[in-house]
Amino acid sequence: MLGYRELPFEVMQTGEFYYELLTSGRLKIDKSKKIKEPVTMQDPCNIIRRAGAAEKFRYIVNATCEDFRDMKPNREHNFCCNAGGGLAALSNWAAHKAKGNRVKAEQIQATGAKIVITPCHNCSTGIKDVIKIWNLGLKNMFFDQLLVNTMEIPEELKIV
Amino acid sequence: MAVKNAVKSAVKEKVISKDFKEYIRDVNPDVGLDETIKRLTPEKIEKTIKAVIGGRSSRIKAVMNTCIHCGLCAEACQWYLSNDKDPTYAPVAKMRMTIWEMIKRNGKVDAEFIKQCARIVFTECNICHRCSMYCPYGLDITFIIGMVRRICFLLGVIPQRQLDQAQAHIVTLNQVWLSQNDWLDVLQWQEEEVGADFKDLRVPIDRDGAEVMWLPLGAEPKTGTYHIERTAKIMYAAGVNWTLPSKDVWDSSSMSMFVRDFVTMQRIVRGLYDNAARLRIKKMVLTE
Repeated sequence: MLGYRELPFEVMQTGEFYYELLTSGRLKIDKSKKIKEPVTMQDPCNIIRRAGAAEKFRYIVNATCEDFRDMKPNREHNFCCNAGGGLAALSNWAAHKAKGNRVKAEQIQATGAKIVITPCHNCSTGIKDVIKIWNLGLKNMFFDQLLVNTMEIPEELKIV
Repeated sequence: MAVKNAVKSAVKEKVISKDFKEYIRDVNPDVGLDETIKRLTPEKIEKTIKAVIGGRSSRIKAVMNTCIHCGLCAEACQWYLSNDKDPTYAPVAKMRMTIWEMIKRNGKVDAEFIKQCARIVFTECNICHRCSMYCPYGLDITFIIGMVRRICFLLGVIPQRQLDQAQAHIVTLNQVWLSQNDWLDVLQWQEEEVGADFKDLRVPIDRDGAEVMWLPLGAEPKTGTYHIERTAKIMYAAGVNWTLPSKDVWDSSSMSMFVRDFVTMQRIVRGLYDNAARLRIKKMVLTE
């Protein structure tokens, strides 16, 4: 087993790795494919409040979307999606969770966005529940979906 | 139709806590809470509480004595704000109604009380750390909630779906009871799927010395395989030398952490590190 103090490798979240790919120019975004609809982003508690990846995630969203609107409050002050802490598994408590989620619904609605970007799986579950139960009529989108839709595909990889 | 009506009438009834009259909630049947408390005995409860609090009682007492009930944590909690500022949803109330009471009564609480604690810590708190951030004294409220979760976990009183995932982690080290055969099968299936969109695309398993080892969430190979497909496309388009491990542990989630099952938490992290060491990767990229 490896020691914990000095790991011979880096540990990061997928979003942080995508940020590296974009800033180093390994992954290129096709500007014509950028998302035109207004978008907002859910800040995941563990990755933002505890690991501080807020700006990196904003970089990804701004690189792939034309109209990004922040929720208020945002970054490390953002509210949880109400699916964190293992609550995502509790689908039989969905109504109870949604009741405790009004703040998030109001927050999302105030941005006027049409798409909520969720960088974390738990947030994805939580935000889907909020959208459904509070009838917000929005879509939610994952980082990988965002990138696959907007990235440049090198010519030599395409199947003609 | 009869079932629907039954659910509706059940919801109309309210649970009123016998220990705290202000704690009023809708009935929400859950086998993990309703049935498991029947197995508990007062001795078992007392023993478990004392075992968990044990040497850490001073840390908890420091929180109890330092808290001035200013209510800043309440204003930070989305449960409190969303439920019309019902004080029983405030983080400080969540501590008072669980561990403070356990300490005050020296562990002599009944099964019904444990059920209420489980409901508070497992279904009304996300451990999002927002309350701890706003506490002017920096009291770690989430640590206390986690400790109550551990007590409930050791007593087996957990909402059923969380218990199921926690047990899946104990047995298979992933949250969805997926065997190694199925895991490899899914990866090869995904390789075939993406192969239709890209030339010569691989979903590389156990590539020695790769730059990146990507680890999905346990649910991805089971119910969200499109995530593996999309990640493969991104990695391929960016020209990343990446890999996935063939052996356990490949699941980056940990329900064991949410229920504070320290032994399984350790097994998961050790498994991830062992895989990283075996494949000599440079970066470990986790979904969760």
